Amino acid sequence: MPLSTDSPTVPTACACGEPAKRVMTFGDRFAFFSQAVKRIIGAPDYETYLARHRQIHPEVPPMSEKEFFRFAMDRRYSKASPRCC
Amino acid sequence: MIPAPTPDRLGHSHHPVAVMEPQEIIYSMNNKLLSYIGWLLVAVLGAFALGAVALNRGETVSAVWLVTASLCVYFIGYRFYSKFIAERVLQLDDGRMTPAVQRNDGLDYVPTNKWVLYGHHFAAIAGGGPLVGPVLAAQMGYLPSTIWILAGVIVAGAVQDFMVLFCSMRRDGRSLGEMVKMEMGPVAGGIALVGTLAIMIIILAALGLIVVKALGESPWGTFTVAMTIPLAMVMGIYMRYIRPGKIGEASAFGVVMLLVAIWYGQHVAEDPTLGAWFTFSAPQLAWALILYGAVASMLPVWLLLAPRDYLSTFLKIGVVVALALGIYVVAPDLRMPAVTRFIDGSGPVFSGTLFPFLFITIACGAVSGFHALISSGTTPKMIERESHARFIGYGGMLTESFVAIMALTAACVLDPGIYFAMNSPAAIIGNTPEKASEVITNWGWAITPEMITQTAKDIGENTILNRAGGAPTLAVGMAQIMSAAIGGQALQAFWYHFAILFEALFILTAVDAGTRAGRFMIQDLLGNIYAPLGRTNAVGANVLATVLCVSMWGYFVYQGTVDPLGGVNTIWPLFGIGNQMLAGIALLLCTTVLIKMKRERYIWVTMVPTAWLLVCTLTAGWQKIFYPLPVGFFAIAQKYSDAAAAGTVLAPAKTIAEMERVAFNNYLCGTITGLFVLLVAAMAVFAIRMSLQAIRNPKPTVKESPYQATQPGVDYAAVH
Repeated sequence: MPLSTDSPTVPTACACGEPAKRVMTFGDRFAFFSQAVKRIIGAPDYETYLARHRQIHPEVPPMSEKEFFRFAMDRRYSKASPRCC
Repeated sequence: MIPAPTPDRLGHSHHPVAVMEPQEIIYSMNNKLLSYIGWLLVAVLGAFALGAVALNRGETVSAVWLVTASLCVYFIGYRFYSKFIAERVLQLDDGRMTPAVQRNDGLDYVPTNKWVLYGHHFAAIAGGGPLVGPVLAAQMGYLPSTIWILAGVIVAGAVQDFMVLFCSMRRDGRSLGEMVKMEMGPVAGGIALVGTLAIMIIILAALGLIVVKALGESPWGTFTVAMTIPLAMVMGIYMRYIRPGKIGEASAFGVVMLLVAIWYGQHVAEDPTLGAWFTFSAPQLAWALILYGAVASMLPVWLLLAPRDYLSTFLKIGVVVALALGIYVVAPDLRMPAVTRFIDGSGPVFSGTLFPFLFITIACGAVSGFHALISSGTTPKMIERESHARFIGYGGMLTESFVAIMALTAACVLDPGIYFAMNSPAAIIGNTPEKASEVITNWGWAITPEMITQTAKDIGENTILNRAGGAPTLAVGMAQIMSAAIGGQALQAFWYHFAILFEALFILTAVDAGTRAGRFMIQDLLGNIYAPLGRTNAVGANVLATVLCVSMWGYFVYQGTVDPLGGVNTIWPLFGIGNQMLAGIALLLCTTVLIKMKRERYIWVTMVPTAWLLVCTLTAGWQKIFYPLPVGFFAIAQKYSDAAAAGTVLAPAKTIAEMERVAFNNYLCGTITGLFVLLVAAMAVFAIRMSLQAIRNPKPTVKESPYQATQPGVDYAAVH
């Protein structure tokens, strides 16, 4: 689900696919909203990872949602990333 | 139609502006004229609102004017100054690939919609700082703080955040420490690392002390804050084992349960048995917090840290929006005078004159060095186009500044008598409402003991005296504004505890994440001395570094509760000096980078705020070290240690041991101040040396990642 909302259509367009000209359904909007919220609070975002993984490493099987969730969460807090005052 | 890009002298492709028809030119001129008229109106409104705030004497002013004036200043600053910086100084280039696009891995590097990233960045920079500083500074009246917050953010704070974000974006999202090392040399990088660690310890101490002071002898508050721990754990288990990754469901459950916990807290406080279980003295709470910090930072992140981090982010954004709406709906009057007599340095909340101490007390909200760490953290790895850095970096900081203005408003709508009763130390106003009302009435703010006890009763607490630290004052102010909007008198106690919970929640998250980050930094440093201590997955080294980190901030928290002169009032100036010092380091880096890019003609953009910050920090540092009572740390230490040696006990200390404690702590704080002053002076020397080298070199010497051109017409945020 893309985070770009310039048009009411869903541009799945990228280097690899063709644009799908359909009006956003309620489900699409909800998916967009929930992805935006995840991005804002810095939570793992499986859909983004999966889509990108398929694009850059189609030959490697992606992590499952459960595996990814564990991996990404540990990663986020496992370096000296200070929190603000 | 997009015209074909033409390569420039350097071989970079740029998209030329389409040639316009005469009709289009007239249309665009009309638009331009309209836009200028619009901005003129904003300027007039802002000037009018500022005039209402600044020139009104004798009568109270509505807080709406203060907030409106601030908004106008932000809009104008953003529209004109940030545009100048983006286009002329930094020359942001959308034809250049950002790290998010170039290295897109769907995990760390992800091109993100501008508005979403703005939300992410704001949630990362907003914290307790902009809420506490302005509340403490309100003792000098609302006008000096307002002017500093507005001028500071436009010229210094937002510029720093924006430019550090830019520098990191041009260097694959590298951190501040790494960039200092790259551009100013390894020794400067090492100094920046030590400085960052020191300021983090002080920040954790100050935040910890704020929670401890807010929850002392308050069963309602303690219960609700304690409940967040099992609540976060339930969320964590749900997200990991029951419905993996379903953050929305877990968060909704968490928010509802938090409200239930606040509601149930009243019953706990009223019940004699349960109430006693959750009533602790400040030193007991200090120990609890120290133990909590050590355990929480060693638990797996999914169990406690991450779920509570999500909860606190939701509350943070929600509360900021609610408070802004509340101020406009309720339109309360500012009851604090524009300027009080405490600008002469005799104020009870913090000692020291307006210059330099106002500029130290209000750090975040005007300029915060800590933001340089966030602007070189996750945000630069998510920027889709270079031009977005203006909105996210400069715009994000303006929003943070707006939070500071709202905190100032909440403190200034309180009756000044109540404000001083809450924020003055017991050493000055005593421990009883009678004594406090006598002292404060003498200062010129008439207040009766009944008003003090009634305020405490309204918010469901036993006392409001000596609640220095900002959080409770802000909570009372927020409770008065929110209850005027929703629920009336009946909900005031609920809103008070909601505000306390909101602040405690993100402070505990900061303590947890900060201890973790501090541990990694300590291991990084120790690893240079003895390699095995640097292994982050070794249990022994891990525990050692955690204990070291916790005992450093824990010492200050505990002393803040037992030292008769200690508390937020002592530690906050130290935090302010440290934070401004970090901002100074970040701006020195930006200045060096500008010179190395051969943009010397624009260095005033960073030189002016750098010079101001150095003047403020070094003057404040100097006064804290060398000035006589009651400002200088060493003067206080000397006085108490001399008296202790002679066997006399000086109030508010009660024993010789307490006297020695006061003396030792003041020597310690003085030494840390000296360390900060030396750090910032050393960084200035490195920056000047590097800059002189760069000026002599006729070619740009800046170390940016190589240029890579974007493909025209591709919406990178849509590519996942």
